[in-house]
Amino acid sequence: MDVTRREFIGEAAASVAIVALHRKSLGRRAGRDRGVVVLAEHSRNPESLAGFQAALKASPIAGDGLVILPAATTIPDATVRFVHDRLRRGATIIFESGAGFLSHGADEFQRHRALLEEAFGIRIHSPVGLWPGHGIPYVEYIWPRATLIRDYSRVVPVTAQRGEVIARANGLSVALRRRWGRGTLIFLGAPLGPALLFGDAEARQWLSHCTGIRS
Amino acid sequence: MRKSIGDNMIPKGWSLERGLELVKKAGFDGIELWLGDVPWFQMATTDAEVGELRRRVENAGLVVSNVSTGLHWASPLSARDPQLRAQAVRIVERQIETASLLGTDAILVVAGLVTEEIPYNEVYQRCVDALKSLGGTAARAGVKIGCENCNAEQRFLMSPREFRQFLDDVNHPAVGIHLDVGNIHDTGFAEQWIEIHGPRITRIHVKDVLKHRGRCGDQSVYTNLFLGDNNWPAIRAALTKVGYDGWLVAEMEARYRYAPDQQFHDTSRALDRLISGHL
Repeated sequence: MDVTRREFIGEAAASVAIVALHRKSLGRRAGRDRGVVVLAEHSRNPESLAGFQAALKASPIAGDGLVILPAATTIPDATVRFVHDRLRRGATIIFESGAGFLSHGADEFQRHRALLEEAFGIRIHSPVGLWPGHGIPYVEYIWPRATLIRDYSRVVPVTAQRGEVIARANGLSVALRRRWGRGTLIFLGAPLGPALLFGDAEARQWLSHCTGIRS
Repeated sequence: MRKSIGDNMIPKGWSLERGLELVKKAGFDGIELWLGDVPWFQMATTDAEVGELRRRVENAGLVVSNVSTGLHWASPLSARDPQLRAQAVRIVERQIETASLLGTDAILVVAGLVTEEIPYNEVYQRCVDALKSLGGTAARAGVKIGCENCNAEQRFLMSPREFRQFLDDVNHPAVGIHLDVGNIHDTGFAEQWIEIHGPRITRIHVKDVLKHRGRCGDQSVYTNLFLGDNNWPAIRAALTKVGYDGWLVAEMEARYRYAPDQQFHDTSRALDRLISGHL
C-alpha cells in the first residue's frame, strides 16, 4: 500500500513530523508531499471524520498529496500555515465545513466564517436546513463528476469570489474549488463524511474522482 | 415456559397493587415492566424506589420477566443528533441497571428507526456501533439485550435473515432478539423467525395479527390470541424445535372495551393452551 494516513496531532512542529513520516513510509519514489493527512483534531463531527477515514482505509492515492479537514470550523494559525504550504506544493485540500453540526454555536460560526474569508478567501453564509422539503434534498455535484448525494444535515451556502462552484442544493451554492499555488482547495459546505461512512457508493466515487484515491 | 404480561396493560387509574393482584389472579407468573410508560417506573425512579418496586412485585407472588421501554421511539440509538443518541444510550444503560435491581436478565430495545430523513444505512451502522458497546455493559451486569423486531413500525430489519446479519455484525453474545410474533404482519411467518434465531431469542412477545388489515386509521392490525392469522400450531412447534423454554410475554394493543380485567384472564388461558400445545 503506498498511502499514508496520519492524524494531525498539533501545531507546526507536528506538521513537520507528519511530512517526515510520509517521506519515510513512501520511500524514495514518493514525492515529498505525497500521502494523506486527515486533520482529525479539528473535527466537529466524529461520523464525518470516521467516514473519511473509512474511505481512505487501504486505498492507494495518486497525485500530489491530500489534506482533509473533516467537519472543521476553526483551526489554529499553525494549521493554516501548514495547509497553505501544502497547497503551494501541489496538494489537494478538502475543507469540509462543520458549521452544519453546530447546534448552539453563533460565536464559533462567526470565527469559522472569518477564518475562511481571511485565510482562504471563501465567503460563507449561515447554515440552512433543507428538511423538511419537497422530496429528498440531494446535493448536486457537477465536478469532478455529476453526482447526487443525500443531504446529511444543514448546508452552508458559499459565495465564490475566486474559483468555481462545484455543488448546489435547493438552488444554493454549497461547494467550490479554487486553484491555490500548484494545489487545489475544495470547500464543502455540505457534509460528505457521513455519506462516506454510511456506504453511499456515489459519495465514494465522487471522492475517488476528486482526489485520485482509487475506491 | 412461563407467562408474563406488561404492566402497561394495567387499566389506567388502577394502582400498581391492584394491577399486580389481577395479574397474579389471572395466572401469570411474572410481569414485564415498561420503563417510562407507567407512573411507577420512570427514568427518574431511584435505585431505592426500584428496589421497592421489586418488593411490591414479589409480594404479589410474581417476578419481573424483563424490562422494556417505549422511550426509544422518541430517543432512538439511530438518532442523528449526538445528544439524542446519548440519551438513547442512557436509557438502555438504565434498563440494564434496573434489570439487575429487579432480578431479571433481559431487556427490550427498539434498536433503530428508519425515517424519510434518516436513511437505512445510517440507522444500521449507528445501531451496530451502539450495541457493540452496550453489549459489554449488559454482559458485565449479567443481562441480555433483546432487540425487538418492530418490522413495520421501524421500517428496519424486515426479514429474519436481515435481522440475523444485523446480530452477526453486532457480534456480541449479550445482544439477541426480543421476538414479537405479532409484529411480522404479512412480511413473513413467525415460526420461521423462531427457527432462524433460536438460541438468540431473549424473550417472546405474544399477540395475534390480522395480516389482511394493515395499519390504517384507528383500526389496529393486532388482536387477541387465536383471533388473527398467526399459525399458532406452527409457532408452538417451532418453539419446541429450537428448545425455547423462556418467557412468553403477552402484549396486547387492542384492549377490551368493557371488563378490562377479563382480557387478562382470557390471555392467560390462551397462553396455557399455547404452552400445552393443544391447539
